Amino acid sequence: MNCSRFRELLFEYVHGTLPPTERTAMEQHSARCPDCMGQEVRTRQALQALDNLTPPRPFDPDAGLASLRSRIAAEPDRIPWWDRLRPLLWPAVATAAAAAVAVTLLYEPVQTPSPRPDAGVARSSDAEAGKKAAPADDGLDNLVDLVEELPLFEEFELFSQHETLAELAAADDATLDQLLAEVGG
Amino acid sequence: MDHDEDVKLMLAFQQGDERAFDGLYRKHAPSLARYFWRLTFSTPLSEEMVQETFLKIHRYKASYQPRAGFKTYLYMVARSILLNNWKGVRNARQEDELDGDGVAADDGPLDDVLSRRETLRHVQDALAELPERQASALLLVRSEGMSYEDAARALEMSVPALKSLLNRARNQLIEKVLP
Repeated sequence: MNCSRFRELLFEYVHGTLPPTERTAMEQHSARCPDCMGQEVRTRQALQALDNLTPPRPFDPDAGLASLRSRIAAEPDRIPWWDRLRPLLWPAVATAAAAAVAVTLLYEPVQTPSPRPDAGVARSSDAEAGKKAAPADDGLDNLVDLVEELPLFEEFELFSQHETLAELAAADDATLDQLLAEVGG
Repeated sequence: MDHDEDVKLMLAFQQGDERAFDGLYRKHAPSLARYFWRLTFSTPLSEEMVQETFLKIHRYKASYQPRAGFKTYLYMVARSILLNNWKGVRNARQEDELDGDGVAADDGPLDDVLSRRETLRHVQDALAELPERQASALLLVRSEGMSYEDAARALEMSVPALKSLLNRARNQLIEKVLP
């Protein structure tokens, strides 16, 4: 034990949390080093003074609790975050539903058991021309691309992730409002 | 994970048991008020911050997860309240809107009372001059009896960093209190 190490451990020593081996080493060093012993005495006095620092009057938990209960009762009902997000998520749900209908329509020729008409015949009507212009597989890919490009859908995906939900549940008002503003924007 | 009695109360409160919340308040509000007072030296300010702390715990009960002891969680919330109000605390200090020093006139012979008052005034000054983190470290470990591990969690630092911080705080304290 040297003086530098002694001072490093002085708080723990005076606070009484050093393991026995180190405590003994501290005692031995203090006994033979007047400077470090002086530091030890001053530390004990300072921490004792800190211990003596108490509020002028003790806190009354009964009065405090009554006051707190009034404040809690006056708090506005907090709407859960999922209820606050619901109006913003409806457009995403509607988009997804519309997309599902579109997928069904695009897939209809593939699903029908009748042979696929050739291109010349298909172009005989505008509606069929639209279907043929986007083959089923490409149509699905395009649709996925389209939906994934929607900012709201991206946010919906973001909120669907478990970690994000946990963060949202823990978020304070300011953070939640900021997130909502971003989603809304 | 430390499922201490307070954690059980907090989990019960999370399930809707308001009496469990009241139990936590009665148990911890007085020591929390003392912690705030030692950092602000203002009874109204410290009591208001106690209420804010428990209000926040009540409001955001759904987000509580028993990752550590309840006291650690409590002081993490308390510090967030303190830091949010830090400007007000500093203004109150500058405007000298502070309480007395906690030494009553009938606490003994006049010389002793005056001497204690002077020493305690030095302690107040020393705490006021310490960075908030150092002062909180000192108060959580020394005054609130938290373990190094719990205090380090509450202050969001490692145990070695906390011990180093405590030693710096000790140095500043003795320089100010016992010049």
